Amino acid sequence: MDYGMKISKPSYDVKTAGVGDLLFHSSYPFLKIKSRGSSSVNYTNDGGSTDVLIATHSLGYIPLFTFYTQWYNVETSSKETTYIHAPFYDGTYADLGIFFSIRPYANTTQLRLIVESWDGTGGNYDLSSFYAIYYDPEVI
Amino acid sequence: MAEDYGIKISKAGYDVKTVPSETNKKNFIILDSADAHKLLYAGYVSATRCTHSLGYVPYFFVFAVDSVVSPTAFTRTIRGVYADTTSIGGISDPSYIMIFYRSV
Repeated sequence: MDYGMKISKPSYDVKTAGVGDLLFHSSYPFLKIKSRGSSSVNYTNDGGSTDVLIATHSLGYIPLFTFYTQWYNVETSSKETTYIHAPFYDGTYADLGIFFSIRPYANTTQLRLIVESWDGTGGNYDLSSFYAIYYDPEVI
Repeated sequence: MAEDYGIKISKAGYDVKTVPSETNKKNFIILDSADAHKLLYAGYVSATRCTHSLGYVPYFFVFAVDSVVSPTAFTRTIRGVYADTTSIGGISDPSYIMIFYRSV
């Protein structure tokens, strides 16, 4: 490639700097945000699987995405108000049957989420979350 | 109003003069009509907590590393790392962290 645009970080020579020392290189795409938003997912801690729609995108291809959510702590048997970057799995070493997992996934039209959990309490919880869907496809 | 100003760079093999649409924006390297994450911090952290003080929960990525000088492996941690409105906690020491601003 003998054309394009590069911007280097301060103190780096743009003509010799590696890609990691560039602020911008026109050969490497930015992640372009299509949409972002927040949601609340209700699930019952009963060992069942909840598969819910988070957002529609209608891009016609599988996009990159990021998903952050509140979570259930199996050690304390309570909902945490902090946020984790999903996918996420929490379980105990003492009893492999006690677990919490949250797995976002995208298809060609939707961003969806699967929540599974069980610790014997059977409680019902609302998990707040936020996400970003990108125009950039899963395979660039 | 027609878009008659801005910056567009297309990927090789795609005409930059193409009018951006929902289905072809993926063919651009940079497109001023598409928002992008703005980086607050990226770097190595030798601690189990990293303060950001944004006042909201940001987008973040955390990778456990085996060295901050010459790392040979970045491992995505899927358990234990969490964020709140002031910090990223539960991280391995050392780690590589990226924190992005978020419009809320």
